[in-house]
Amino acid sequence: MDKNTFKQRIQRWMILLILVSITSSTHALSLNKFSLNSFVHFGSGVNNFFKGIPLQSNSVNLNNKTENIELLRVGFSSIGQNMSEITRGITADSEEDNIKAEVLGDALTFPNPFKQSTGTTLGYRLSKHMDIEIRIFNMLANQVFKGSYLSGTEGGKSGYNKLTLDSSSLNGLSLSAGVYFFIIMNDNNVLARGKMAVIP
Amino acid sequence: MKKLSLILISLLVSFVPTFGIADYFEVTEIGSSAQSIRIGNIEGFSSFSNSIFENPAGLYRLNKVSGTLFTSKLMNEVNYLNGSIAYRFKFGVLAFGYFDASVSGIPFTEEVFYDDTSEFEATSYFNSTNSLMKVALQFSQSDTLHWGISGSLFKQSIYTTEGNGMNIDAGLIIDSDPLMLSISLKNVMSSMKVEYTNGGKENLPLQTVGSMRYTLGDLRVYGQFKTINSNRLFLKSAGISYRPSFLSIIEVSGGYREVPVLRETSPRLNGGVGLELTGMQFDYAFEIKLDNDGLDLNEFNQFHYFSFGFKF
Repeated sequence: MDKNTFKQRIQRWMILLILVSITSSTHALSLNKFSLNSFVHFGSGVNNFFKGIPLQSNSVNLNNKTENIELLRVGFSSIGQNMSEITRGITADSEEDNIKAEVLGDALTFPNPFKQSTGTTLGYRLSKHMDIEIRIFNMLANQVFKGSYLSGTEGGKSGYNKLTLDSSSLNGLSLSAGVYFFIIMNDNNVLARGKMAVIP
Repeated sequence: MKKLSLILISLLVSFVPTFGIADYFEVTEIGSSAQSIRIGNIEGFSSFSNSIFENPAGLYRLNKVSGTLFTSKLMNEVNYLNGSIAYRFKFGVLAFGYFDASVSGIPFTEEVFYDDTSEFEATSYFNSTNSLMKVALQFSQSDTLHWGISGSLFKQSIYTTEGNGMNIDAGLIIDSDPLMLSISLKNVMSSMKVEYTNGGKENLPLQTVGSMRYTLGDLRVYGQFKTINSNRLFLKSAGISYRPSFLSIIEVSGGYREVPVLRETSPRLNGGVGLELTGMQFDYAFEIKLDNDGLDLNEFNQFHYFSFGFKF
């Protein structure tokens, strides 16, 4: 191995190392912003990259530059893919962040009025995934029910949500006939309110 | 008197609430006047015709005629309103009262189906009213001992469903200055139900209320124990009022009360002021929930009450 070849190999490995660290780190970033997991991904990225690239390339070496260009192409392609994923993720996140947390249209129960024994279903449309809290009050403004629903689950998902309210919602306790008031909240803000009537 | 006692005892024996069905919501749970709410909703010490909603024996404090009005709006949705009038005859005092809580704009809904899903829509709106009518008779056995009895007519309408029921209250007051005791039994015929047009029924459970007032110069101290609903929930109240002797037209007061919430109680703090001018009384009371479960919304935690009364 002459001096130039040795120098080229050193350059090649340095470029490889830089590319692998960039791709594996950006991959980790896209998965989990930045955390200790980045280092794990960096390690696995290095491992995987070296597994896929033969140490001795058989490709034509014109002016001793082809291999380096090929490696650069693979590296930038990988970066491009990861950057694209990151961009998509950031765009989706920012789009979600830009959407105002609200209930679209009316929040209604069906049937209304209803018998507590048969129950009713509360329906409402959310503008995006969000944590939701629902509270129900009687005619004296006393809270008779409180329920929490996580973002992305039924009750807290983007789109139309349906929640069943019946005797089991109140641990078997019977509500007096009358009008009840519900509020739908996110982060201590009231997004919607409504009325429902219970008949015996 | 023995006959009356026997009747009351036999009615008490008929205390048979039906378990498994709900208790009827009585509008009087909010309180009958700002005057009583501002001392912790202590019942039995009103000087006006609204005694009919608390302890009918309290009507003995009327001279000739009295009338009252009370109003409040809770959560910007529920309108509470009551009115009463009483007149003294030779045999005692006769009084009438009306109390209602109404809510309007309740949506009647239908389910609308799309390709693979469904949503709810309001197709019309209806009102709901829960009302109570009362007639009471009061008579005094002596300057110290006063009796009263009243009949109640309950009515509730929700969309096309209507419910009706009736019951009887009885009470006595022992006026032994500076101590005054008030004992009342509400819905004495506890086996009676509110029956609805859809076949549903609700209990009218017995309520027992024992309260006292002790006068100490310009101060008045109040206390009350109350059992309510089919679970015999025990509610405590306490209050204090101050009417300065140098300005006796004004009374300021504060109180504490517990209100029933299903099988538990919820504490509330009360306060307010009363102004008495030549037989007319204006009262304002406020109420603050002490247990708001982390909800920071004034309309669900703070309430205001106004009442007016006159007596001649």
